[in-house]
Amino acid sequence: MLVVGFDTATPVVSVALHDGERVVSEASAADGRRHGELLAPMIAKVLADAGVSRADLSAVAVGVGPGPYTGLRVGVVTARVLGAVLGIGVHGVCSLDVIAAGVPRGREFLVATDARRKEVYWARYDAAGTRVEGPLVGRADSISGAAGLPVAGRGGQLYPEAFGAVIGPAYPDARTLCALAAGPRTGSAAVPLLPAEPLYLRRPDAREPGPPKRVTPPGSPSPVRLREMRRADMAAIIALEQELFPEDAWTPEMFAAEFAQPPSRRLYLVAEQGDALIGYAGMMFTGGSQADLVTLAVTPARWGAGTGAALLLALVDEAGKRGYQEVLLEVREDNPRARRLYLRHGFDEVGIRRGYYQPSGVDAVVMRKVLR
Amino acid sequence: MVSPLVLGIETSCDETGIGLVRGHDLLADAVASSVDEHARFGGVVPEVASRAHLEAMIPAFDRALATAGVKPGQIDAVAVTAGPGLAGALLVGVAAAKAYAFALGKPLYGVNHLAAHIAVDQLEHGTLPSPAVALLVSGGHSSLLLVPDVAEEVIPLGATIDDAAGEAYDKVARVLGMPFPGGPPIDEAARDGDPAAISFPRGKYRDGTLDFSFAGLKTAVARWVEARQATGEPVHAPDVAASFQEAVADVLTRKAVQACERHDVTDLIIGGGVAANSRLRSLAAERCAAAGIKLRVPRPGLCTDNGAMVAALGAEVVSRGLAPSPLDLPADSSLPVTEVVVR
Repeated sequence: MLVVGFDTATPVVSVALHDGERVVSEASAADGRRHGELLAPMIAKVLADAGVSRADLSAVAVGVGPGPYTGLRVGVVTARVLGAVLGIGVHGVCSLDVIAAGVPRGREFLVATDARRKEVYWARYDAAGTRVEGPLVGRADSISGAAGLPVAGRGGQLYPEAFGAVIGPAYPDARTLCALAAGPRTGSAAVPLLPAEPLYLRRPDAREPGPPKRVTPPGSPSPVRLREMRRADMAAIIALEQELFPEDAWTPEMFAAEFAQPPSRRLYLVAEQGDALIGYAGMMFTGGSQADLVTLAVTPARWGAGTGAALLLALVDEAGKRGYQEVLLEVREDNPRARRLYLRHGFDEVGIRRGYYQPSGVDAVVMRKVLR
Repeated sequence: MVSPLVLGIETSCDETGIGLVRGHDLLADAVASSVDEHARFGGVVPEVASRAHLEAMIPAFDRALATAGVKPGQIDAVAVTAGPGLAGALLVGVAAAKAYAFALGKPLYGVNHLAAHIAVDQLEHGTLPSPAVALLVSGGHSSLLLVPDVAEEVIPLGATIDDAAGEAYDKVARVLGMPFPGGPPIDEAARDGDPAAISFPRGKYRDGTLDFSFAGLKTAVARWVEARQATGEPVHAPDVAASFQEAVADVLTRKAVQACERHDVTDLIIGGGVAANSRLRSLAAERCAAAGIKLRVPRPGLCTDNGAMVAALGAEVVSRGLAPSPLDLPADSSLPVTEVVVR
């Protein structure tokens, strides 16, 4: 008989080889997060040290936790694959039982290991070493009667105030694990053999999501709405126009002239937040294949929140619906913010009108977006 | 001489894949997906995926061997995805692969998931041209790669600076009330929509790099939908889906063609789950034809994560007589694409 056993339910990776009577070789390493790297070479080494080959193995024993899942799964999947390929039995043993087997008999005690998140994996054993409660997971100070009981396992060292005397061992040892799996299956203290199935105890941490998170900025007291411009908006628009374009602000007369155009030839939208007008934009549809974006403005306090893009998208959208094939616009050469907005939304810079904006003589960049 | 029989194991995300490949011949490709378990969470939950890999591993292995009609002892080498991917999920596959390699007494090859997405095309279209450009797009990756030699030299040209393309699909699907994963329902809805209905932004379209950005697009779609919802206007989901999909396909194919032109390459390979997208496939075909580029896209079943791709890359590596990986091979969640085989 030749049993290879390993436990990966704690930061210690422990591997041993047992011939049914005694441990023939063993290895252990304490490196909390490298179970996946350590285990396979250690198994190879333990077999090599004993001068045996994998074909000589007659069973695999594995600690099935409870323990941190990632490391635990390394041990369990390794055991299952070895068992399946070599055609030998795989025995799971509760890792807390492995620790308990190293505690002297004679009185009731607890085993507790680190479950992270200020909790322990724990189980209660009677004076004969038989598990009578657990394995469970919870806070050390929630275990009834814990303060009066000796405790084995790393949990006792982590939370000494919750338990009585701290006794050994601190971690499961594969030598003990092998002995339990290879030993007699009768008697009151026989440790139960389990399937090679991790004792997770907790469900995966995952919450079902609520409705999609809103992307409209939280600073907004209310959502931004777009609607068609009305004559009553004029005062607010002129004020914004003068703030943003002091040099060449549109006058009330210019807006009046635009309004005089039939709706088939124009669309002016405003962006409103609560009662406040925070932006506006307009497009002219003069027949043919080109629609012209004639103005687009957003109050500086609301820059960067997508209002300009929303106005632009709505108008470009409309141009598409009205069957136009392209949208043209002019933008001040010294307004990189606006130029970036248009570039982002698929406009190309197709030309320059020298000295277009007067009196400063700033050039206009002509931009175009081709629709389908 | 008969080519070696290579076992491939893939567990980088939510598919447990076991493939068997001999040379360029696919003998078996068993995939167990935990996608249904993640659907209600709206995304892959790493712990759920890791638990599912553990349970699916041996049944998938048995199924693959039965399909191929081979015995475990006939396997000549074991290849496994060593990264990149979800750390806990990768580790289940890597630990299993080591146990298979050790129990079978055969060499172990820890290989790169992205390179495997390229190598899988050899199973369908034969030896890869050299050099080639590869566009890999999935829920976890959006990369452009220059591939002088898939087994030995893969050079990154560009990648997403924020979300992967597939992630943007998942998030847009949520905004539109469609199920996870978002790719198939958006592709489906887009068939009835107008791709020019809404002009969504194309991130990094003209920045001269070969990088991608999809976070802004995803947010623009959400904003557009929210703006309509706020005013009580109906949202025509097919138009949103088609316009979004157009933006994604446009920027991916534009940069893929640019990558080919810049590097004087005439062969483009597209892989990864998003390569199953109908619009990406059609637009890529159109633009490659116009640019005189030969396009290779594996069938959809080989584009999504699977074990065959790992076995395909493993077979290529083995055929070159390259050194295997050590038994202390780590799983590396951020394995660089330049590392095709981990040693």
